[in-house]
Amino acid sequence: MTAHSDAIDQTALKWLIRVQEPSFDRWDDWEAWLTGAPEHAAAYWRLAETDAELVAPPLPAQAVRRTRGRPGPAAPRPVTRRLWVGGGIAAALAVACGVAWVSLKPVPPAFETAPGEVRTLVLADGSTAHLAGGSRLTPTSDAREVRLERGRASFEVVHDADRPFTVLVDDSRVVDLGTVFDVTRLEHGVRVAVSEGIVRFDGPDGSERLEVGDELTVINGRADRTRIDPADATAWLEGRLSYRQTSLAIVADDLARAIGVPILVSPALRERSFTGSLETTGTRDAVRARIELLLNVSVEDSAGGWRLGAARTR
Amino acid sequence: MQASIPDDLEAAFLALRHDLVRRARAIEPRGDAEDVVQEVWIRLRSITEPVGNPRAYLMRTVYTVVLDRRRTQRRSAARDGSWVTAQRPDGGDADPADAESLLLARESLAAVHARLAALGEPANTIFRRYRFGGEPQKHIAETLGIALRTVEKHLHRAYAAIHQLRSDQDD
Repeated sequence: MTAHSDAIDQTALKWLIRVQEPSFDRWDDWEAWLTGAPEHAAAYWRLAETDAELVAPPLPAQAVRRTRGRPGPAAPRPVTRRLWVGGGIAAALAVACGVAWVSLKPVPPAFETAPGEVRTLVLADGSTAHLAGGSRLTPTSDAREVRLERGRASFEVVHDADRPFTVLVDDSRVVDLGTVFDVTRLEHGVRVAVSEGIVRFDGPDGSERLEVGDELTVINGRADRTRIDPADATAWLEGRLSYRQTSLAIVADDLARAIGVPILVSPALRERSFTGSLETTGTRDAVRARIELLLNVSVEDSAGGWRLGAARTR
Repeated sequence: MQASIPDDLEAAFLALRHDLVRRARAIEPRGDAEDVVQEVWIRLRSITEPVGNPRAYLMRTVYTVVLDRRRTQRRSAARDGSWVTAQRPDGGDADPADAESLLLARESLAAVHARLAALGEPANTIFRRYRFGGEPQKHIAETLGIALRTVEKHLHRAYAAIHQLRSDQDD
């Protein structure tokens, strides 16, 4: 290999890396270099084609325009933005069911999702709940109260200072003070993250006040507060899971809910810490390969689902 | 899959259609640029969420369609036994290096694992988060408490290792 072609390879590599940045917008510059010489195009496409074979990626998720940063507590607002709910028809039906329930029944039945499904519901008070896969939300006789019996849900709450919206999880309460927030019932506890506004968490061992970017995880009575990017709290709605030093046990839980595949984690790996983001869009095979490479684990078929174990190397 | 494209994306597509065709033709002179842009239009149908930067997104989709078509052509050519290299009018490398690069693609995941592991940390983790996690470099730098330039350096080393190139970042 000549020094000249080596230099071209290095530049091609730099461009390939830049192009894979989610927000890349220098397409004019890239084209100018690509078409500058035939060797540039040959080098670039050779690298890009090989790279694409590594894991066939879905179309990269682009930054979504968020309707955030409204001054003061959230005023009642209609749900106008479209959300990824894994199928337009399912979402339309869910909303229709929600509205029908409001007008017909005094105490509604529970809302439940199959694994991997996402449903958007309009609750009796006009608030919106997005239910993740394998989850169950039960309204109570109080229109401003629901119980998360299983799984995960994100809420956009209509603010009412006199009647705060409350989510019950086991013997804890998440009380909205004008917010967009996310609640997960974990195997041995609960996780709450706030995207907008303020939430009060009433646990059996005391209360915590959570604001934008706060995430609280309570496991076996022990509370852990961390700071997150507010957008990450509800990023699962867009097919992205984002973590900072989170145990693989919890990551696997979220993944299973998102893709509808039961996922076990070998005991040795359950407490391993993970920091990073994971896309849950695309084919199951693509997600599986992504899990192996990103989490540095092996994924085996097991009991109708997957089992994460130590990575194999040859 | 919903029946219609988000309004702003559709409007952007119609406004930029000529630019998209021009781009497709510029980056793939052998291809059918109109056909590529038609496929871009079809792919827009599977978008269910608003897009932050429609122009950038459309340009990326043109890129991805062209890339996917090249990959398909390469696979067909390999099957036929007639290497694409022989037909390249752009005078690109007409040597077995293309066969070598395909070899990487066919190698097992374990071999890629091994090369990544050999890089050590933080290059290994940075590469995984960027390439497979789709995380912006800036975000990786912030969460690791290191400079963006450092993340760039590690990424370059990692990609070079995967593609078995020398890395000019080692100098």
